[in-house]
Amino acid sequence: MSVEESNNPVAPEPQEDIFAEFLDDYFAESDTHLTNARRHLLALESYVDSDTVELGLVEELLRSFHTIKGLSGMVGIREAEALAHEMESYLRALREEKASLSSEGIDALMAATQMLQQAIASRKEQTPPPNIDTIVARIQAILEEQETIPPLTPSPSPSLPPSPPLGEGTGVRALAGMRALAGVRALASEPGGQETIPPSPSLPPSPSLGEGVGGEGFSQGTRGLPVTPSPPPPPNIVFNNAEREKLLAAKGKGNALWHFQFTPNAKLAELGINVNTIRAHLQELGEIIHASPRMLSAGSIVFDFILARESGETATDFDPRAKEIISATGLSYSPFIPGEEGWGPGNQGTRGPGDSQSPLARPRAKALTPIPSPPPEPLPQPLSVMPANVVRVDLARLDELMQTLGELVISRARLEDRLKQLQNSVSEKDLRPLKETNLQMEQQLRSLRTGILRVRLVPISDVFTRIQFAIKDLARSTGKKVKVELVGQDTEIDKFVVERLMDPLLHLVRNAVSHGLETPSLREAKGKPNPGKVVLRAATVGEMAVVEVEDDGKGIDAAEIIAKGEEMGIFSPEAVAGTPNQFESRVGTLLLDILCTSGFSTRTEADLTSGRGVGLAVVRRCVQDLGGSMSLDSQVGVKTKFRIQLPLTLAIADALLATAGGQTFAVPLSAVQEIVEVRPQDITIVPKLSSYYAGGEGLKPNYESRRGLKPNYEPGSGLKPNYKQGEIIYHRGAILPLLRLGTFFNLPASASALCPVFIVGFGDESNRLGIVVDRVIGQREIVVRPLTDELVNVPGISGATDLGDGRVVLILDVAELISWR
Amino acid sequence: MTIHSDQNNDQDSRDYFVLFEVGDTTYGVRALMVQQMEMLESITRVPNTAEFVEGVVFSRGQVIPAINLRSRFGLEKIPYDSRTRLLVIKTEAPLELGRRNADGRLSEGRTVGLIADTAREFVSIPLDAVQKPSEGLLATANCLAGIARLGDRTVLILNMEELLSFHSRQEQSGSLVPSP
Repeated sequence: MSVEESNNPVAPEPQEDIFAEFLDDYFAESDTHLTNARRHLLALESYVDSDTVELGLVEELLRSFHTIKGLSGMVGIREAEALAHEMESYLRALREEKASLSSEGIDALMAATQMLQQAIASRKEQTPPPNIDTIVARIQAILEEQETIPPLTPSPSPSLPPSPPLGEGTGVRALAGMRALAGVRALASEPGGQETIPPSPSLPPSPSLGEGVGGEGFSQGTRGLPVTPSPPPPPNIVFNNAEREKLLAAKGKGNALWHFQFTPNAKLAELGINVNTIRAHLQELGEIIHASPRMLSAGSIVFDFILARESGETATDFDPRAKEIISATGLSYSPFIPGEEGWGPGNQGTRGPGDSQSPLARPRAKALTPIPSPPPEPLPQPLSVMPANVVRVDLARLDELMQTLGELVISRARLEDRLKQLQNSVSEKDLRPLKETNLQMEQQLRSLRTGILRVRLVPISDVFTRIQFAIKDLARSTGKKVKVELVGQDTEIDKFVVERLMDPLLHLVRNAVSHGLETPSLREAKGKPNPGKVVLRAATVGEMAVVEVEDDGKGIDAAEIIAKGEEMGIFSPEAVAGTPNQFESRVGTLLLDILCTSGFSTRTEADLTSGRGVGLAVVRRCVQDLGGSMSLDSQVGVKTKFRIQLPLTLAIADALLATAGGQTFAVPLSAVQEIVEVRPQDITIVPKLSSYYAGGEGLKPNYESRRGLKPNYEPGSGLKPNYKQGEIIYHRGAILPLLRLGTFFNLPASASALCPVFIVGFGDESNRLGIVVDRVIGQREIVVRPLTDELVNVPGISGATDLGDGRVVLILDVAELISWR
Repeated sequence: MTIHSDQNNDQDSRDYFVLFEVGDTTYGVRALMVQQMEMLESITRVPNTAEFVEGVVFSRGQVIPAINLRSRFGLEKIPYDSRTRLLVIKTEAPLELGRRNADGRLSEGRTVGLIADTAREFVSIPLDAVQKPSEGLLATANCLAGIARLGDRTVLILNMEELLSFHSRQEQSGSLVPSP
């Protein structure tokens, strides 16, 4: 908010906009606090019924709820305010050891946190707020029961940090503050400091005006030696958009930014030095980005100049000639750190803050200058404090950037095509610079893309924490004991994907707890450890992210599922004839197909915690919509493991272009393991290789279940994927099933001596396939466009891309093709 | 985004239509549904689709299916020429509400391209000139939203939902072109 305002100070926004913006901030802020609170509550849980409680956690929780209370009061969400207040009361009692942490207590806190979230969400979604009376009463009861000294002061205790005003708790302001604080602390701890700037003897004593203003934001260190009008407190310089751009450009070029202050007085005026001469001088030194006068309270005036200067080898100092000018004009200067103006996160750490070089200021400069290299690694942070150097960005804005980037990628591809066309008519000499520029652009676009993608990546831990919360809830309502194990919480996944992953994962976890895990008595009878285990695992594998949900429950009974599937007529019995009743990956795929058929449920009636047979179908659909795939592994009596694989990036991908049957297709590079050429005589034909798809008569994996409707190729209305017989080759000592793309898609056959084969797959051998094409065209960066309309939603195609000339190329759905083997 | 035709409540009697021709018949589609009309450029075939799905085209940042109306209406396909037009239609109502809701997804309108022999006219038709095709009038009339009389011409107003769904195909036996 502060950024926006300083950006355009003259045009105040209409009232409601401010409020709307304020609300947005509120939602974002309370979300952060809720996330933290959840994490801390889970940590706090281990102290239940113990004599001591980790006070740090309680403090953190107090801080979160106190902030939420304050903010909710400001935006008028009474329920949230009241809830947060109750929780605060209990936590304060804990802190003051007037109460102990009971398991009812922690349960109540967790339930209240859920409720708090609902209360806030109800405002966001404009639905009626939840009824909080019960939970409030519950907390109060716990308190009354435990407390020996009942009266609770509603006002925050002094040690409680005041709730920060909106928009300041995060973002750049906070950053500047942190940095400043960090800098000061570091100084305190390293009094010797590394003095990087020796007093420069060549610098003549500057006239009285030279009192430095260094150390902006470091008022703690000020040892004022005022001679003439004391330099003003750090000015709040306001940039307009053009200036901002210049500032960015200068920063991008690695130029040093300096803040000059000129205080005119009569003496200087006699010498012919006024603001215009200063301006002229400064222009010799660098580019003036900003200039503005500032009135001081005493009635005098100061001119602020922000100058960008090629840093050269001395980023912290000027050459003698420059110094001469500076000293002759009585300017004071200091490095300018844009972050302080609420402008971008910046990387100003390399320059020491506040090293004014004016002689009078030097003593102080010495004291303050050190830190030549990255700012002091921050204060020992309490493990739970959110890093403050975070800028919140609306995902939609990142999407816009990504879209623009996509268009750029296409434009460049078009440029490259044009260049190729010029090959014959333009001489190589003329063409080369163009080609080089084009190559350079490609690299730049690539790094831009990586950069944007990196911004979009968030750790999956937030989702995991939430799920942990849900599991607690489920465990309570089902009366099961559940131990949750998290692996790879730091795995970073695209924000877009993470958000859409929440629901599918919740579904899977619900299944695991309510269907997977046995009841405590059954577990004991079987000699299994009583708290059942649910493992959430995340990892990055190449260009894919893998998320797994595993439970050590009763496993999936293949025979039962298959029987149920037959009963429901999902597939014909003969299609599965001969299916061994044990779990190998093939059977896993088949089971998953049945389980994911819309309407399939092993329960006859829906219960509260599990869905009505739409669950897994939705999960699979979500995953597929994200361009991912799902697999299942289970052992009766031992475990059930769902595995989700997702591409790390969504919008832009590298792909290989190839033709088959006269048509061009794109194959996502992330799925291609190898390309080999195969002679026709090396291919062995295996009739009906696939045992249960039986030439398309049986269950069609992924396809019907994916859309839950009859396939769009009703008899006569279209063509079936053509896959009547299997072909295999031996490759690297292993059998590799083949799929001829042209045949599969019913395209005109082409005869060629050697056919290129894309070996695609994910992970292990059981998940591999060789796709036979006619010709490989080359690699290309493509912008993935969804192809969702049911008219063109066909097996084996996941999306489309345009090549920039209006032509559309279809993108193969590798995971789906593999399932057709 | 849905704009209903009752926006002019005081007049509430006219609606705007884009007219196009397929075979010898004039069809109309509500102008509000037509995003744009363009010359037909390159079409990419999508394998294993229904025969009336000509393929996909790139239009305004989207890849959309293109339907050959001739084929959809059971006529012979003819080669494209300079008069051939692609009408990009965005349906307003959620299609097949039930199915999509079962998936827990919000359904949005669909964007599809219709390939017509030619399309040139933009007319306003008084609503009272539009007759609902009564049940049983024509076994094949299931993809018509109405039939309008415009001077001495008959305009068949299409029901996009039916036109774009597969389920009607099974019932539909003959061609849609009424005998003159």
